[in-house]
Amino acid sequence: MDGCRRRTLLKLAAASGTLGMASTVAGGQRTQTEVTAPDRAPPRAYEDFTVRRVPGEYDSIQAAVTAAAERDLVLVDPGIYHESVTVSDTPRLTIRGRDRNEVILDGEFTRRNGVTATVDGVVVENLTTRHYTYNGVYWVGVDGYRGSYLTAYNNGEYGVYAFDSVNGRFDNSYASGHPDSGFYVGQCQPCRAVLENLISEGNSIGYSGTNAGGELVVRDSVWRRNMAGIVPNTLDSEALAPQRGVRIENNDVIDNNNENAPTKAIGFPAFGTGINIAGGTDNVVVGNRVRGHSNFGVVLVPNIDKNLWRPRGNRVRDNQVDRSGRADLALGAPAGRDNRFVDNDFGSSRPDGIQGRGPLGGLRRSVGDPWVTLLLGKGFLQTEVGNYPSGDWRERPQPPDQPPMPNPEGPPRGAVGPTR
Amino acid sequence: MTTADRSLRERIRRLDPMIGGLALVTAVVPAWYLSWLLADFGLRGVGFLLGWIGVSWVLANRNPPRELGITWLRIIAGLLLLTPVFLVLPFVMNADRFGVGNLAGFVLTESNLITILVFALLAAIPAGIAQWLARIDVGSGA
Repeated sequence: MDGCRRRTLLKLAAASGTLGMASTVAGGQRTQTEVTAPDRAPPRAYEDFTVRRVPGEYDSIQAAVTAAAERDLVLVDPGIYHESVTVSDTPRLTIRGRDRNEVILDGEFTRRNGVTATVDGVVVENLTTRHYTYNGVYWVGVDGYRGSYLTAYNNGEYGVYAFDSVNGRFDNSYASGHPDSGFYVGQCQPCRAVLENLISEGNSIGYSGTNAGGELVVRDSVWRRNMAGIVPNTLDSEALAPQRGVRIENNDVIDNNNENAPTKAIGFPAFGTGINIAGGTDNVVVGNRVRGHSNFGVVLVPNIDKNLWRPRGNRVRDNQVDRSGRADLALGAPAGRDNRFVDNDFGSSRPDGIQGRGPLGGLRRSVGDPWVTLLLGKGFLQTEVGNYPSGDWRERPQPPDQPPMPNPEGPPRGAVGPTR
Repeated sequence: MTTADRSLRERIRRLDPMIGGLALVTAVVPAWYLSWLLADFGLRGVGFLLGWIGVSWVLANRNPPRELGITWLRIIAGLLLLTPVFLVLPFVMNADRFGVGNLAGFVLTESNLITILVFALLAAIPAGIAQWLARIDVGSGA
């Protein structure tokens, strides 16, 4: 699966919006990127659909999917299902468990993906995926996707994952024990996606988003005890670089220093950072609570791939950042232009006076602090030349039961609502 | 007034004003570097102040200016050598607070060894120049 292999390494290693128009330079021209959530109505319930019950009518989830028509609901009874499910011919299909904690798709450490969707508008909700060698639930190359009330744990790459896909939503879901990230949105611009009410813990990275942005919002969620919390990043190994225009708002980002989390060299360079924007542009980080990171709370740092991607045009404002080991706010050198730190409640920064106004503050922000880059770069170097602390994704603890979806017998709904 | 106080005042009185001024100016660089190293400990300001005073005093007692330059270069070399230690030290001191138990896994690493080697090579540049200047000095005096 190319999507899983598309990254080389994260080499160094940061309510719908009103804040921001952030500027970016594209092809020599300054353009404006709206950093807000997509303006949509709630998803509509389908009216003309068939319920296909597993195992009542079909022996397997895949058999029900194969038999289904567009807009049907595959409703799965409690049980452990040893299969990989692929939705490749039936758009707008919904796969739903009747009990989030008792409907379990199990990869037995041999199958690749729990659910793979390659057609538009597929919804997966109210079930658990575990022990797949790649991903729990995976959308690739689609327009319209949604994952709700999902639990994904101890899969070999990502928990809940959308690649090269637009118009989507992850909500009310949980991911733990992944050696890449719990939740991932990659290679989309504009993504037009919302991630909210999520819990991500014990992963290499809580949220990772390579070259993903544009009407993309990560909000109202908990990112804790991963190696690193929220890491939007730029890499040349995916299309659409640089990463630009994600809004990170009202999250709790706590204690992301987990040396026992599994990792595959992706997360280790970002170890001990809360919100880490690696080579990103025009992002907005607002109203988050970031606490207890051994290195940096909120950090903007350059990322080196084929190109050197400097962070620029990012806004960090109104965050509460404390109990960081080195500095609460940090900007690595060489920094790009126009990064702003405004009205944050914090104790320390690198460089000093990061919120300072006037020419000196501007100079500090335009240069950044090489210490930050040196430190995180040392982590990357370690992944290149030697071993580094990492747990085994197969052996991470099983998470506790998670809140189920209300009314799992209700009609299926679209992936996302129509644009207003 | 104690003997030590008298001695200090006497030494300050004997300072060459030109060398003293030069010391104050050139001490800014190592003082700034020291403050940069100490920033993770929240000692940026203290580091700069103490570094500036301390280095100024050391340099002011070097005469002629070539001696001052040699000492300045050696101080820079020493700070470069210390840099890898200060990169790791805050993490080591805070590891327990952040629940990190496997300190060896983070500290006894190839990347730290490479960092030490790189900064040792960097330190060798000012140290080498200082050595070269010192030899020229010895030679001219012979």
